[in-house]
Amino acid sequence: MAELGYGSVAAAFGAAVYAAVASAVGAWRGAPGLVQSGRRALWLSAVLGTAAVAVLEISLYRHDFSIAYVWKTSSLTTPGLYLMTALWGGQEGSLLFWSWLLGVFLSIALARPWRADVGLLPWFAAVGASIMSFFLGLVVFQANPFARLDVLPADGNGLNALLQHPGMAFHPPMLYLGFTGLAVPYAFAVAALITRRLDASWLSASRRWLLVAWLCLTIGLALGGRWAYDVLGWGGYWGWDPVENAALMPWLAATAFLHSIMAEERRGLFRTWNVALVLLTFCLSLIGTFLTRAGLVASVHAFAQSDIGDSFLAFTIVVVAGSLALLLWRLPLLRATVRVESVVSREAAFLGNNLLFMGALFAVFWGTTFPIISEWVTGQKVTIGPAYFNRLVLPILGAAVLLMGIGPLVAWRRADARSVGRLLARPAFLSLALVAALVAGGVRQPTALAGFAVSAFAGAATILEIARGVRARRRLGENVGTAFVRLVARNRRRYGGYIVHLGVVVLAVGITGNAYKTEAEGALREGDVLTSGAYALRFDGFEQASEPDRQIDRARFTVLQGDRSVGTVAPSRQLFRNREEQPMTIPSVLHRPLGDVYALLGGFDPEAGVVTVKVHVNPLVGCVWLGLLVLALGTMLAAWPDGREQRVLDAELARLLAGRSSPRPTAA
Amino acid sequence: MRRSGGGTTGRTWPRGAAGAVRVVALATAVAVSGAVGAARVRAQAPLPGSAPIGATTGVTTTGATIGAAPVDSAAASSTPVDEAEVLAVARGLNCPICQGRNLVECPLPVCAEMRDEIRARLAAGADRAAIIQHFVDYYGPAVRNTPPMSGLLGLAWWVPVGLLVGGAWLVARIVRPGAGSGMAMATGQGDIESPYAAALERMVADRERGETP
Repeated sequence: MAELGYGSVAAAFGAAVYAAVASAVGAWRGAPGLVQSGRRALWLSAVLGTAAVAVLEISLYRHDFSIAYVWKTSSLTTPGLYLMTALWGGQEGSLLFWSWLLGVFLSIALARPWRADVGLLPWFAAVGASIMSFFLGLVVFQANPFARLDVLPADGNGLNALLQHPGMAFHPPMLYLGFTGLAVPYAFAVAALITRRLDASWLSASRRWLLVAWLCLTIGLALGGRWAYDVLGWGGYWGWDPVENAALMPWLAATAFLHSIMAEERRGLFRTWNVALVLLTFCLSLIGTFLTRAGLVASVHAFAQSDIGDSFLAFTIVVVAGSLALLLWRLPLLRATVRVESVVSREAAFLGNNLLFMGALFAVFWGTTFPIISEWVTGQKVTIGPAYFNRLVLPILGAAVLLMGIGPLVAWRRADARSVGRLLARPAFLSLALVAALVAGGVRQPTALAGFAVSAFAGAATILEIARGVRARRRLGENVGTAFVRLVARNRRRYGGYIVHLGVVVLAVGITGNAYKTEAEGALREGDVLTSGAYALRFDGFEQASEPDRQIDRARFTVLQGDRSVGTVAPSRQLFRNREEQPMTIPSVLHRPLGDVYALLGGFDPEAGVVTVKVHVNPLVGCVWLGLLVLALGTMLAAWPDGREQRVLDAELARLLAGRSSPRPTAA
Repeated sequence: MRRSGGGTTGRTWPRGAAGAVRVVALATAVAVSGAVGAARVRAQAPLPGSAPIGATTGVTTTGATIGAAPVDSAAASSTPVDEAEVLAVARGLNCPICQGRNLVECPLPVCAEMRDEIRARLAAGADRAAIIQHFVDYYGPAVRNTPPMSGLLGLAWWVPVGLLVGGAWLVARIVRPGAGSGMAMATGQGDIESPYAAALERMVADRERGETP
């Protein structure tokens, strides 16, 4: 069985190498036969990769512990779902999974009809197949998931208990979907640079891929945050850990691209910049993976470190240097035909957006790599913790939220500052009124007030903008519901985008609530009460249970608000068989409308009758999850194919890039 | 420089890209000089610089006496030490053993002892900076979980800020209006909001032109 799997990967590697060479040579020499064979080889490689993944999954389900990877990541008592997810529970499996996803994505991208893009696609296939060859090569030569053990163990080691959580089951694959999805626009951009076909086709081919990849990254980050919150037990969802930052950086770059691309579609602006952003986004996903996987940066959840660092570094350097060289080489072709005419214009707003996202991106990058740089240069070890990022990055992103309220109201080219001011008067007034109410209600922290004010402003501006559209349609005689649905359905990208913006507002409210978290810790006997913020915990008793794969010690508490009981929490300590040396403390959370009560077990001693518990009260944390959900739904709405809109935009862009620098036809 | 031919037209991206190099250079220069300046300020001010050290050593003795009776210090939580201040200081320091957790989050006994020491020093009247300096002297700079704002390590703060400022300057240059030629074009008709509206207008115009002859 293992031989079959390894054989498939090896063959997939061969096919991918052939696909890369054949596509490149075919495109160079203009040999359609060779190009066609390269395309088929890439499909074959994807099929073989699928076979290898299937073999590994079957081995996991059949508990074939003769395979080291199966032994390492699963055991006889591992529940079924986690047998499936063990595929990406370790380094070797992750790489196989990654290569496979990449193969599937490239195959789908190559399956589209080769009409207009016929010049682009051979190079696209060559670039994509090269990336795929690298990852498959890692699997074949350095991180073989099908390696055998010399002895046949009776039972497996089991998946790291920390990873046995539904959020963690789907967090890595979503991120991998995002990262591999980013490879598709990257390959299109490189192909466009090589072939000098920097017209509308590469952009129209890659824009939806990027949006979908961005969505997957967002969901992946959200699930990771939820997992950290539910499992890791430090009471938060985002710790600015290098691994998290590594995934956030491409997300920030992609967010910038998703905005500035609109300026290219509508006005033919920022062409160099947009190509650079696509290249940067993919390079960042590689750099991030390298930083974390190679163990250069210390991380609390470095689950899968190994010796692939050197190869990965070499590959990352080649990709980054190659992208940069290609961009500089083609710079003369990328001149924009029009220019930004006014500070009060949509173009300028997008520039501001890009500035803020690049600023946040660089701050994250700098904070993540500074400890390495500092150690190289001065020999001094330093740590850069969450407080650094909160102080530096959150204000920048707060400014982006503010701009998010203004930008959509500003017209293209040159807007009338007074009419924009009129549109913004009501949101500004609402936001000031809210601040006044909050101050009267006792909220004093400047950062919290700023966060709420900015969120209220952007939220009100967005809602009023949607309301204006609905009102315009109502004049056609539609009722509110129909008007709203038709408005959104007829202009999905725009109104999907507004829904995403509303999600960001809700998320910002949730993050701002963080300023008011409280925590308390205490040793309690039965009946004792521990107070934190507006809540108190009363200890009700011990509870011990035994399950096939673990032993669970649990302490039961009643949550009190004033004298009233509002629910219960039962934080636990779980001892997994095979991993007794690593007991896990699993927090227990009571979700209340205005915040969570989050309890974590410290000490557990039924004989002495004492339990140590830590309780966090996290205000508004529910807004974080709700905001992310709204954001994801809005993105799906915006990403849903809309042929009409696509054609209109493509035609417009093609016209703009054809060299007619006048932004509007003067014939009429 | 290779694009000297483009110099006659308006401010387009490639010219911006040439400017970007300058901006990066400028921002780096600003950041470096700022940090060096800050370092020099520290070096030139021996008196205020030495005062905290003196304070620290002074506190160490009192800290030791209190530390000798840890049970008391734990029980005597009624002493007028602001617990929020203890947590604030503890949150700025890392556990010396496990990576990336601060003293508040970490469950290890070492961190509990360090928290007790912070409380004791606060009770003895030490300020936040002096307490942090004490731990830095003992465990090395990695015990702080945010770098200081001054000195060479201050580059951690000033380089991103410098780049952001430089970027803002670059954006301001790009959108600077009224560089002469663009004016006539800009004073045109009102804006078209939606791409549909634009496409529709064009379609109607085309059709009318096609049907009238």
